[in-house]
Amino acid sequence: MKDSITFSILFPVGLALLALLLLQLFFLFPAEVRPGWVWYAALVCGLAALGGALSQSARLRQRLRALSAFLTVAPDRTDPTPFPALPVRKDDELGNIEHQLSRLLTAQSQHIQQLQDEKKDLEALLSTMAEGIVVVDLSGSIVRCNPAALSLFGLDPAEDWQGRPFHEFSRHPVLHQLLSADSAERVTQEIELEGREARQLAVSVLRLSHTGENGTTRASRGTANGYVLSCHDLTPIKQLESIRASFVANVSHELRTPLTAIKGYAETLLTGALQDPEHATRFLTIIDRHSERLSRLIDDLLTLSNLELGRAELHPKELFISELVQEAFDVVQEKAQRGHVTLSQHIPPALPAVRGDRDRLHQVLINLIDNAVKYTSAQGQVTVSAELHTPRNNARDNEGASPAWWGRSAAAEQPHAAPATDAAVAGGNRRQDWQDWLEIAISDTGCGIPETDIPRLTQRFYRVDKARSRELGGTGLGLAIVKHIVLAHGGDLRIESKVNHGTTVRFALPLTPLPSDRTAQTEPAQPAGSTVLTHPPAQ
Amino acid sequence: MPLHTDSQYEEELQQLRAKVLEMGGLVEKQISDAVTSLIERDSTTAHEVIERDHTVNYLDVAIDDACIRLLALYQPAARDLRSITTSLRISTDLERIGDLAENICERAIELNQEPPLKPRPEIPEMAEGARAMLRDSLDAFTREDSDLALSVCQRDDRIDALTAQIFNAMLSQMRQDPEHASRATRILFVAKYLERVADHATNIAEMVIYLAKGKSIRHVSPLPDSV
Repeated sequence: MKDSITFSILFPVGLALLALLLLQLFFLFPAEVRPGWVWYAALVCGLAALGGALSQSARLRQRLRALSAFLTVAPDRTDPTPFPALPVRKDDELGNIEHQLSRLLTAQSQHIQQLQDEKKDLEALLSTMAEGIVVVDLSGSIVRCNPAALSLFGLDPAEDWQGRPFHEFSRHPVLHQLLSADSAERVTQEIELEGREARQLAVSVLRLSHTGENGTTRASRGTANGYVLSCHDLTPIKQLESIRASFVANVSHELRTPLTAIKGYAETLLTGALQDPEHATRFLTIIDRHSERLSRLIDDLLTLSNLELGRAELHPKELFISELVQEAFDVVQEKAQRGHVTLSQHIPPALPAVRGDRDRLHQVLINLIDNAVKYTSAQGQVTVSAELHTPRNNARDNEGASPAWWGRSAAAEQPHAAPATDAAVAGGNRRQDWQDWLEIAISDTGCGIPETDIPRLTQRFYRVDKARSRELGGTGLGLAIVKHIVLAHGGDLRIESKVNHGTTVRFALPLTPLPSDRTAQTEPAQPAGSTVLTHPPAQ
Repeated sequence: MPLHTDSQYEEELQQLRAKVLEMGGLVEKQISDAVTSLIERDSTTAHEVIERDHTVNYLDVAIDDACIRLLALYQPAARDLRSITTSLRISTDLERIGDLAENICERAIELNQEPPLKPRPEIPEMAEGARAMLRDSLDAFTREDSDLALSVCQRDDRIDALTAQIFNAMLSQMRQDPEHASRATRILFVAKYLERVADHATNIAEMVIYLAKGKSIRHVSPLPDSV
């Protein structure tokens, strides 16, 4: 009780009243008998009242000041660190206020912390999203946008767009039309962005109108009112769509060409040419040649689709490159002799064996050597060489990108997406990851390939010179098959060429299969030592 | 930018900028659609572009009005004055580019009524070059990036060279086969229009350099290496 504010006020007031009473008493006595002690007592009481009042008011003032300082700071706080607690000195009325205020501030600190955590979560969420998000307020200023949006629109990721006008973000008229729409429904539209790289986006706009408790729209700042633009990148899908469409068109064209010839000659035979033995034989030969071509095309298509779907099982064995090359030479030799092309090989003895599927690698070599022979004119040369790369001389090989390079990467896994560049490789067949590898190079002195065509060489049905390729009996699928087989072996493929000087196709096979390699999946993992054998002494 | 106490003025300046960029975006689309209609022989798109030209004209008038209003009411000085006069000139260039897009579409529609000539590689290259120049000049305006603007000015020569190349090619084609004359002339016109688009983009870029650096590089030959 003695600590209450009432007491601290009543105590000096009581003393003052007592002093007044004593003073009255003092003057009641006649002047000559007035007792001096009464006067002194009144004086002491008066002074005590004054002192008490002064000290109490000073103490009160101090506490009120502390309170008011507290109240001034509280509304503007953004820092969640706990505010130094108000010293609750007394168990009185004021003390109660102080106590409640302290609790309020602690709660406030918690709320600030919570809000900041939520904000961080939201930011983390936004920054990891693949979709671009831009929030624009009613005046057309950007409230926030995530890194994906910046990269989709080709903007500098370090730039801060908060508070800047959306017009500077993008000038696309459709976006501005969407942003001025008044509908509360989500509106989606596809747009094309031009720039360093063209993109196709599906953009949907949702108008936000958060309503307050009393039903009125809050016209406050931030996202309470405005638009949320979410952008989804359609470029890869559109690319795949167009690749598929052109593939279908190509396949039907390629299938129709021999079919038309077969049908035409068969009809001619039926309408009478059959009776003419000389013509009949010629026509039948043509029919035979085209059906041969048709069946080759279908075989290639099946091989390719199996390889692409990963259905083609590899049967890895230890193989010696020199043997494979010799076998391929045996097959192509006759054709080379007919075209007066010299075949030669520079394969060092004592090369280690590679692990691979015999038939597939055989196909790779035949396709490449056959190609080289086909495009090399008489008196030309086709050379197959092989080289072993060990970590010592690998550093040199990793430097400098070749004109065209196909390793397994996100892009290479999608059939015929743009060829992988080093930057696009997201873990996969990279020479940096290999210990040792064997590089086989097939060079010719043929007509060469223009530089602009090289990146597209491994696309299905891509031909540098359409007429010539068909004349030479190509299906347009050979290199695509080669690429897929090499990739399935965990290797990579490089093509270098110079017009009128010749072409060199290099493919590399790692000697220690990667864990992700299909060879390793189908076969129990083997110690590195057993997968690499040394070539038996020169035969 | 200096701070203005007058928030109304500040807002109007901001709106003017937004309008110029809006017009820029629209004109970019007009040109790219016009080029598509020409290369893909798509008359429907061509008609759409011609239809939309009035929106470009409307924006041109609106920007003119806004500039004059700002000049008359607030008598701006220094940078703001440069910004307003730049907007005035850029909108004129953009309006002309809009008209050229319309002209390309008219030629495209006429060309589509006749069998196609063997496509010339210069036209797509010029179209891409002119579009890129327009895009970069507007990007430079947005960011007040004088380096980018200068690169736009430097690219104009390539477009001029391509125009000369296509002129010779068309001329020899007309000599060889007078039947081709009407189509070759139209293609020649298109090349000229694209060359004009690049010129207007260069004008815009020059104005951006003036806006950013307060320095005029118009009619300066050879171009400076940096500003």
